[in-house]
Amino acid sequence: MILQALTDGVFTGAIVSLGAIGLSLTLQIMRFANFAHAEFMTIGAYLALAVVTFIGPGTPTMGLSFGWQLLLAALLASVLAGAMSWWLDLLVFRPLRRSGAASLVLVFAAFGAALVLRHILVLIWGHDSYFYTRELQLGVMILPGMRVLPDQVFILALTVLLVIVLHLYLTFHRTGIAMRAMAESPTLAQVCGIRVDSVVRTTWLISGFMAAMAGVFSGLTPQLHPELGSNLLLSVFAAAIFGGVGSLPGAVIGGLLVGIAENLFLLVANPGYKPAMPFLLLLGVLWLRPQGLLGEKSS
Amino acid sequence: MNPVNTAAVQPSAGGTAVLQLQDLVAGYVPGMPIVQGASLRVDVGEMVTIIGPNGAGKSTLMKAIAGLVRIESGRIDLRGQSLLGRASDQIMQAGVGFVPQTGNVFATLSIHENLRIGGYILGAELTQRLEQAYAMFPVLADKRRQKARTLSGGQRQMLAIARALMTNPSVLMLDEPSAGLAPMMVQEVFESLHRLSRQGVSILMVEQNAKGALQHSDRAYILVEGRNHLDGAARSLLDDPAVAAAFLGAARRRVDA
Repeated sequence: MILQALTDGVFTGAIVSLGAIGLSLTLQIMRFANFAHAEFMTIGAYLALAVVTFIGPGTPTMGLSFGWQLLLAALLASVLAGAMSWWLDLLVFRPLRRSGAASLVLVFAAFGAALVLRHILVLIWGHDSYFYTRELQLGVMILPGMRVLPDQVFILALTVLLVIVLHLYLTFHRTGIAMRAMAESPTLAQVCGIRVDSVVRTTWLISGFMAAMAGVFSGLTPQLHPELGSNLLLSVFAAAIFGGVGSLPGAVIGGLLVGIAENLFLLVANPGYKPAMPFLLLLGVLWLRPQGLLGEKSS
Repeated sequence: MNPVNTAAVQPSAGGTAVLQLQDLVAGYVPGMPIVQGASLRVDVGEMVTIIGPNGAGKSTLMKAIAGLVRIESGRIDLRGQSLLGRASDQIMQAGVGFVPQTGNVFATLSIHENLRIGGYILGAELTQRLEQAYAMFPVLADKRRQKARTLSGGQRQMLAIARALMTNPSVLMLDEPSAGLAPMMVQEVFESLHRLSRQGVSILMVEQNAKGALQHSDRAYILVEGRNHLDGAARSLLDDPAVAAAFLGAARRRVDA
């Protein structure tokens, strides 16, 4: 039982991690809590659904419930969701920043944007649940008491790959370094000749891309619904803060811990209390270690 | 030494102006300028210091040149080209290197990353400039993988200067490079700035440690209430008893404290 809960926790956690990475980046570079972030998970999931509606989810291969078509759909959806998250900045957040709005104003604007985005999705697709594929998957027993779905393993592997690529980008690419520089001091970054607008754009593109990937993965296990993202919002926030805002490994570890904690919690409590778990974690972290596991103490 | 000189700035003997400010009015709140008509010039290879009492607008003046503060009127020319209306990153690209007083390095980035960000706008010549920076400041070369926050105060200042020099700026501006440093380090920083200016780097700095700064500078401006009060050769200002009484004594006490 515990082993299975841990396993499920890692798989849920991988999705939460992907969401937390983007949130953590925008929290640190844009300096406000973007409550619209989770909607880009939903947007990504539905955009991929739109693509899959045309080209199909593909023939199941290697035990997976889908083929390359779904991967292509996920990629297209994520790129588009990244662009949309940047457009949201151009439309809503940038004008506010230019007018010198406080970060709390941006937070409220993000709340509003989240509502609008979610209801646009409902207008188009309605409240029903959708599936990318109707293929049934059987769990594979890999250890006594530990079953995994091939889809879950695939999602985990892809998450690891995305995290490694992003890590290399932030460590070695000049724009990646500029993003970290902006996160620490926007003024000094400007004085160094960094064009703030281009770093901001890259930040939104990456954060939207990662969120959409998380959304597609969440839709795969097993269905899509308009609250897909907003249901994950708290977990994603808990993961980002748990790991330490601005720390990429922190967001990943935070995501995994949140996923595992939620699933272990189910062993001892009624599933109805599951949404409370991220809250409890968040409270605990803020109380014991406000800068998060791997976060830098703010200077 | 020219007594109170708010009108035209006299060009110093035979130099070519790299940076020239004319009647600059600037501040944070519209209609409440902090810099209220300051004029100055820096010639090629010259080391120029701005001193003055607290609240004279020295730092604001520097931030105005760097594009971080609203300019209401006046002129700022870099090698004859106006910098007015340009954003910070464009001013930097035009050839102004700036070392702010606080937070002048990226503490969470490594030394190497700090220098790479300093050379952000460079293309292929980045590698060569990095090598030159390490040759100029060997202490940084030994620690290139370390985070900047692990550096001592003096080393941080070296990194900040090296970072600002990455693009080979026409003028290097420093806001209180000696602030918070141990007395021995203060000497070292002033001396390395002096060396840089002898190598042809034009330097404009603001200093509270007026005496130490003047000893290493070519010329200086004394700013009071956002306006030029006095200017002239650093030596003659140092030797002027009236200047010493009004501006050097106080600054010295502050540093000794």
